[in-house]
Amino acid sequence: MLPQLTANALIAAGAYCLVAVGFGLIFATTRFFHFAHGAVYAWGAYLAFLFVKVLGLPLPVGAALAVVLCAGLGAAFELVLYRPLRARGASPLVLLLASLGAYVVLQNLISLFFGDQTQTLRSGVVRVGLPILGARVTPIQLVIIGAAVLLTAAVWLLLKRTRLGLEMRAVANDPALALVSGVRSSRVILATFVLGSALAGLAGILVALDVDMTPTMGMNALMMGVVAVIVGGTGSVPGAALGALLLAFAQHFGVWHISSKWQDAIAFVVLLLFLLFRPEGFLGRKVRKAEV
Amino acid sequence: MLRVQNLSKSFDGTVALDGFSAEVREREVVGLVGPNGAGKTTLFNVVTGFLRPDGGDVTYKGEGLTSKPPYRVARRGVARTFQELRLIYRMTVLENVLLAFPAQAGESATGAFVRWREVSRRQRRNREEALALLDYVGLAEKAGELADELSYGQQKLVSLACCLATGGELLLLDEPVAGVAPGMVDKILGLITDLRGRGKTVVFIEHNFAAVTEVCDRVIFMDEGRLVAEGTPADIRDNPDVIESYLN
Amino acid sequence: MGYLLHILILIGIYVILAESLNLIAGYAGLLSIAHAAFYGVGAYVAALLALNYAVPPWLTVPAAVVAAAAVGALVAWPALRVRDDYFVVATFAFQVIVFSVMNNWVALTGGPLGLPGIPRPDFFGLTVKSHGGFLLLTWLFAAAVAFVCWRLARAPFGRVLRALREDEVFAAALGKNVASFKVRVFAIGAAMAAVGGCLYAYYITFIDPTSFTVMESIFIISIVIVGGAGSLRGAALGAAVLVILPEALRFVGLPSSVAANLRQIFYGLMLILFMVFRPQGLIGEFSFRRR
Repeated sequence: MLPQLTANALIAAGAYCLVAVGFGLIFATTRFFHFAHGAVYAWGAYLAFLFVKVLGLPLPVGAALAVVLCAGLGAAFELVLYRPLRARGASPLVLLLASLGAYVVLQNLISLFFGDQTQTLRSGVVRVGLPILGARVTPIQLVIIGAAVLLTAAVWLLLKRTRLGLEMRAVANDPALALVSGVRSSRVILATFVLGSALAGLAGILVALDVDMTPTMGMNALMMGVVAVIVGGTGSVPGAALGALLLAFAQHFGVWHISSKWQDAIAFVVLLLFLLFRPEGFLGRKVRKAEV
Repeated sequence: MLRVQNLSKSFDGTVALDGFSAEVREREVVGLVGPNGAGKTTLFNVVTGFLRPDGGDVTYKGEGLTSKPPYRVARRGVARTFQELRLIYRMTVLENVLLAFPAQAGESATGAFVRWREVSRRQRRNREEALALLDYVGLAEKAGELADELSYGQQKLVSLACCLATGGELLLLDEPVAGVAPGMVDKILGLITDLRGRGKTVVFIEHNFAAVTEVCDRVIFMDEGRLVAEGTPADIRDNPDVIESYLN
Repeated sequence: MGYLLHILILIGIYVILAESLNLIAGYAGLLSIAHAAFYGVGAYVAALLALNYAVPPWLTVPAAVVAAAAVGALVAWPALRVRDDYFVVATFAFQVIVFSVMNNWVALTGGPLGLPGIPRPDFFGLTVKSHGGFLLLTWLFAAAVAFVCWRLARAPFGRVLRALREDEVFAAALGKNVASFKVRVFAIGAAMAAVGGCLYAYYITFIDPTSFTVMESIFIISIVIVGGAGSLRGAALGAAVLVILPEALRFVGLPSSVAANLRQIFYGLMLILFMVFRPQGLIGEFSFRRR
């Protein structure tokens, strides 16, 4: 029982982590809640569905194409919606609201084009997982965990070792100073959207391969990402990963004795506790109410 | 009237207040001066409850005030203005002053519905008082204008009127004449002097030493979070420690 | 004719929801996407009392109002601690938690299947069951809610709310107990939303969790934004616009699921467009920007 619970938690953590790292990166550099990130996640899955199930492309090709388009979708958000808004001095709240509107539109577009029924990206019969350390884990689930670990590490290395990463951290820590130091903030922000959205799209595809997909899948995934980022601490990639782990474990072990339908509620209770008592999360910067 | 003892406050390693102690007596006009970063605004923030000190205490009229939330400090009778000039720009001048009156029955949700007549009567009285205050600061004819449309100096007068409307006896003014035209500087300083005659105690932060000399009974000079010197304006001007602080 | 009355009744309910959210988000500047939760609490409390204990409406409505006010006060709590966009996330969390309870606590709420067969309201012998009757009832309550909001807005209470919205540091320095006002405005707004919930429950006679989701909260906030935050007439106008315009889609002959999607796309687009071009809404006062 315990090994399976742990495995399930790790798989969930992997998915959350991919969403959270992307979301957290965008939040760190732009300082607002890009709710439409959830729509990018869902569109990743559905674009892959379009390419693989409808157009018949091989999975790796279809998936890669979908990821690229998601990166483009993220870039489109930045270029068409957020950048003009920011140029007019929009507050984080205004950006959040616009993002919510964008999410609603995109989710409904999925419903319109693909229908509301549950779909799947899986091609074959549902197979029993491979036995690993006392739990059963399917290959795709291993991919999820592997992708999460590898990509999170890759993003972390990007931030620490590359010039782009340095610029991202500069914009995240002190936008005014970054600007004065010659960092092209707009380019950096665009890069975070491209990278973060690609991660989200990939996450959506992997989850759709593992379980199934519905038009509303993005909202839930997004919220788990938000919780992970807040719990782990905004502005920190290891924090997002840590938050994802904590959240997944809290959910899976929390419902051990109660029905799993309360998982969402648990996630949000955890979120509220952190917002009330430790809004900077475990590893993040302070975000309490503005003082004089 | 106001006594602060051994106040200390640090932010992420920077020391803003370092064992600061001072006293203000009733009906004094005290100037609080010092170089940038000396901790003057931090001191105001600690006294008025916007910041919690790491150590030390604040006493007002014999009762403790340390770490009380800002609204309680204001209700006890300590009113303040802000260095960055806070006002409700989207409201009229009169509304801003009306906002400041304490103990308004109309501010409770039920007060909007029950005991209507009494609440209305109170509101009318507040209105008269507000107009009188605006008249006192010389802005009576601007009462109906949006605060946003006034000049910077006039806005400072409005914030002063708001302070007075709270009924507070101790007024802490953070740079009341900074950035203001010379004619207005005289006006504001004149008001501060007059307020002493009306029983108010005023402490104000100021960089303009001439203004301080003109109006203050006493000057407190602080630097690096500590009290460096205090005395009459003349004392301070000639004080070697003060001169050294400015040179550093 | 019945269809027209139905639309008018819906508009009435949404006017109640919009005015109450406008008090919280438009006047006090506390943007919240938990409003559907208050709406739902009102509906469920009234429905449960009427179904299980045959409690008459003149008691179920106050009970629903009190329950929602308590939830509202709870939701206000994070507003005292965190910045406004984090607070929106907190309200989202409350909304989902309340939805979870409605959807998962099957023994209490009937779960996803909801509560059918809610009895028609009986006011001391007078049973309201026709469209016309409900129209009158709904609009009576809508007028009452609008009146309450109007009085509160014009009173010093409303002035403090607006001050909180613009500069709560200044308000605190003037002796206003900011925390107390925030909790109170949420309690009052939630209480009024609950009235809308009761009306909905009695009118449709069937409620389930899908009427009280995050999407519904987003819809209500769209109404307030489109009409204009901080304006009483704006909230009413927004309700009329956002209920009526999508209905036009029905007449184009589209299948109902498509119409449902298009309706959501419509208000999602409205939200984006207004935020970009006119955040103060059609006739509002507040544009969610701080100086």
